[in-house]
Amino acid sequence: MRSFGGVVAVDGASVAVPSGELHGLIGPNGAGKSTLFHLISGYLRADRGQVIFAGRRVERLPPHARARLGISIAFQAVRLFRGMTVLENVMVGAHSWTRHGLLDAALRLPLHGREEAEIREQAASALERVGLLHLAARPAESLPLGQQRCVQVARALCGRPRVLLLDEPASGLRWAERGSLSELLAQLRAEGLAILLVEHDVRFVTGLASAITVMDRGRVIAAGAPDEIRRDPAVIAAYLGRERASA
Amino acid sequence: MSLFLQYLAAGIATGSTFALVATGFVVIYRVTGVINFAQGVFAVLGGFLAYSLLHAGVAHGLAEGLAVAVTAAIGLAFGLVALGRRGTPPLASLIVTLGLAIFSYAVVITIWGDNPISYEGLSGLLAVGGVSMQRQYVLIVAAAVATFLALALFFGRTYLGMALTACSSDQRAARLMGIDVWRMGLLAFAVGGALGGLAGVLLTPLQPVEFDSDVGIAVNGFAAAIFGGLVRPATAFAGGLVLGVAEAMVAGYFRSSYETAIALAVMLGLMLWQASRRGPTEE
Repeated sequence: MRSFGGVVAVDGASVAVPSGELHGLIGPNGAGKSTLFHLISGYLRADRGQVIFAGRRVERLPPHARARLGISIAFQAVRLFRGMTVLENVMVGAHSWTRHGLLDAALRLPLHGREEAEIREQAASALERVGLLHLAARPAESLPLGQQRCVQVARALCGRPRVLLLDEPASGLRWAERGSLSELLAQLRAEGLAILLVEHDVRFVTGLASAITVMDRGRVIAAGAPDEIRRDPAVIAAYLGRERASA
Repeated sequence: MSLFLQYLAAGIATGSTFALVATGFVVIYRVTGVINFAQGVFAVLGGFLAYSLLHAGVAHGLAEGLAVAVTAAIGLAFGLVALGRRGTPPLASLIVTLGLAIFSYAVVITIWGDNPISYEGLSGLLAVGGVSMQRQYVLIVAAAVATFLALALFFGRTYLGMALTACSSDQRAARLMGIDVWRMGLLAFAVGGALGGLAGVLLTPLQPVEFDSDVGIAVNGFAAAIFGGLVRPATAFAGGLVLGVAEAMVAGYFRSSYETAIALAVMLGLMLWQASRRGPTEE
């Protein structure tokens, strides 16, 4: 549970994502999707409730410690590091698994160099997976927003995640780019990654997810397989219906 | 004319030390969001430490190097106290740095007393194109430029530097990438301590320092840092040089008691001009 001032953003919501599964989280604007998402990443702290990762309670851990356990995130609002190239941005993602601390960097330079080469390689392959390796040397902020989203996904992948949290990664992407993103997500799922996907586009999610949780006004109003969700009257009333009416 | 060139040389030399102090402000501010009011203290401590080491018979070069290493450690210690627990707001840390600066007066007076100290730097003159200047000036400028280039390489090219840059660009995002922003802040304080200490060991042969010299040094360094919006090291460095030259000119042609006031007025004018040209800055 988390409230902002007197406004309860998320209450009594529960999501479980086993590895090798892509879990969709949908709901209208202001439903609490992003809040729930950030309670998992550690960006926000829950007032009450638990976050359990690989059998371990992590809700009291600071965000960097959660990242080190294998929780990686791509933001809804693009947050790349300015003044750095695309490749360097992705390399920063590797901080969640690199061991070197301040002293390592100062005293064990040869090892540091080897690890740095490994990081660079890993970052390049993450960029290749999102199809942006050819832009590696460009300043990150010079890319169109859609591609910046993909760089965020690459940065998250470079962190060798066990759980990947993606907040509307497909928004702002062109049709073909959406297709390749959904292929990539299917691949990652097959590789055993647990993925939690927050998405506005219901069709995009239902094609990929093995389970979907629907939120509205901070509460879970439905959960289940994509087909069940599509037929759920509460969901149609709260969300799909509204979208159909506006479409 | 040659008088002008001599003032210019002196100005560039003192300006280089301001630039080092300014860079310290920028490094710490960018990574932690804290304006470190104790930045001038590092310079004072650097000067006193080098003074004591030289008097204990340690060779030139080694003494200064050791003093800088110790100020780096002091910077780390200040960072530990000022940053406190994770999540301490930068404004609280700022007040703590002010307290540390005042506390350091007591420490300096207890150890070294309240008399100004100085020691001999590089002696002798160097003639360049008909202008003779003190070799210490040349040393200061060379050391400052080399340090600045090394820092640029560190921040731009090393993985650790990238992490620091990431922290200064977006702390919360950096945290979610697994970067321990608190430890990066400590590192920034250590770098800031070394930069201040270096400025101190270079400056002391030119201007005697005493326990409260940190105010003058920090005001100049801070003005230079503000010139770069507290976030742009290169502009801050240039700001330091401008300030140094302006002060040397005022002291040379007018009165030395007005040097800081007039130099700061020049700085203010430049900043107004900068702001009117660019419009409101976003950083």
